[in-house]
Amino acid sequence: MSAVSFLIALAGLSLGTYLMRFAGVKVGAAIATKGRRRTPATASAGPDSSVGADASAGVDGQGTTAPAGVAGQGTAASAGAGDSADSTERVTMWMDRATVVLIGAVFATTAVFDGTDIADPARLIGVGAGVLASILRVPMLLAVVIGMGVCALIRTTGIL
Amino acid sequence: MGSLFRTADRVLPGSTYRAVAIVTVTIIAVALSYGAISAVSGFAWWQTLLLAMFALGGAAEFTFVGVIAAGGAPILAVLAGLLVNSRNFAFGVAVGAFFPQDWRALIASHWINDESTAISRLGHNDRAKWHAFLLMGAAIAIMWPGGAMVGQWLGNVINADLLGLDAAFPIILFCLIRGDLKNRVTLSLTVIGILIAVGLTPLLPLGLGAVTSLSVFVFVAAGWGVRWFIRRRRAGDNSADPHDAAHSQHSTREESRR
Repeated sequence: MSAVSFLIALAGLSLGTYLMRFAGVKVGAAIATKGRRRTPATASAGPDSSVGADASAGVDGQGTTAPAGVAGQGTAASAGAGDSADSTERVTMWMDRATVVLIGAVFATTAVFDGTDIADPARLIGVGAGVLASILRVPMLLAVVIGMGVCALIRTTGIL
Repeated sequence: MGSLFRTADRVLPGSTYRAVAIVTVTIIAVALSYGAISAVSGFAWWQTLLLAMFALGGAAEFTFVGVIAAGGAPILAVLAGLLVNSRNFAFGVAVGAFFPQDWRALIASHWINDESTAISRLGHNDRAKWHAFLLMGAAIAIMWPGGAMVGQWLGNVINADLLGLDAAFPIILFCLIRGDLKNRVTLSLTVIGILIAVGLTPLLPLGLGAVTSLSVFVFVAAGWGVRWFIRRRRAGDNSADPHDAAHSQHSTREESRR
């Protein structure tokens, strides 16, 4: 592979990766800011916000608070503010869950696969031992050492 | 940079430093094996170094080197590396929420990867998350190219597989999300996501498998859509009944677990 073609390939990989990362940051920031800015907008909406308040009450499973018909202007405004603060929290919560799901999937795919092929039994058993240790509340360092140790032991002794 | 880390001393608990140290040690070891593989595949030291510095993606470099070593065209190596790194977009969305929106975000964006995102989640507020992210990101940015250089120099003297290092990374990632899995909704979503990802990885190009796990949120979104539709119809009838609203939420939960 010549130096020039390597540099072109490197530029493509680096710039593409950076753009994906930076675009992600911008999207994440936009979602977070949108949630925060909705507070004044919803509060000033007047009659509409009483519907919003009822919606949030329903979502929370606390349907007994703030029925739509009773809410006056003042309560509607405060309930609306509560709604948007609540929705920011909910957006953050769901983005957090998405991160956990993605990290979990990276964990599972790197544990089970080597590229697109199934990994060797030593890694599967090693990871299994480490995960079990982690579930049993062993500290992280110890869990990692146990997993690596089991994996290395199986490989060096060639049992499997 | 020095002042940033002095502030970090006060913001972060000791457990975060321990976690960062463990991950850093493992990253150095993996970087050694990347450098060794790269050297054996016929890459010059500066090529190994530039790849490590500018792609900074772990698996992406392995893929890139692997495709070239297997005789693949450079364009295929680039596309494979980008596919592997595509999950960084989703990680960017997660960490972008607590990034300061100025020049620091331009630098920190380059440090987004599995480990720095996972470590940042240990923080309890935006400030702690941002400092934890910076600490892990900087450690990776320094140690990954550095370790790769030493690995290149050692060549095929070391055999990282014999040490069981490939088992360490999945375990670290699991430890970092273990606390979140106590939440039943998160746990069920993660289990379904893992099943989808593991099921699809053999069928998909390198690196895309993990991203497919996010498709579980299509079910969640579908549940929200159904609930929104029901509520809008009910608002039209002007008979908002809290009991029914609670009931519709219950059905959404079931939908999201499917």
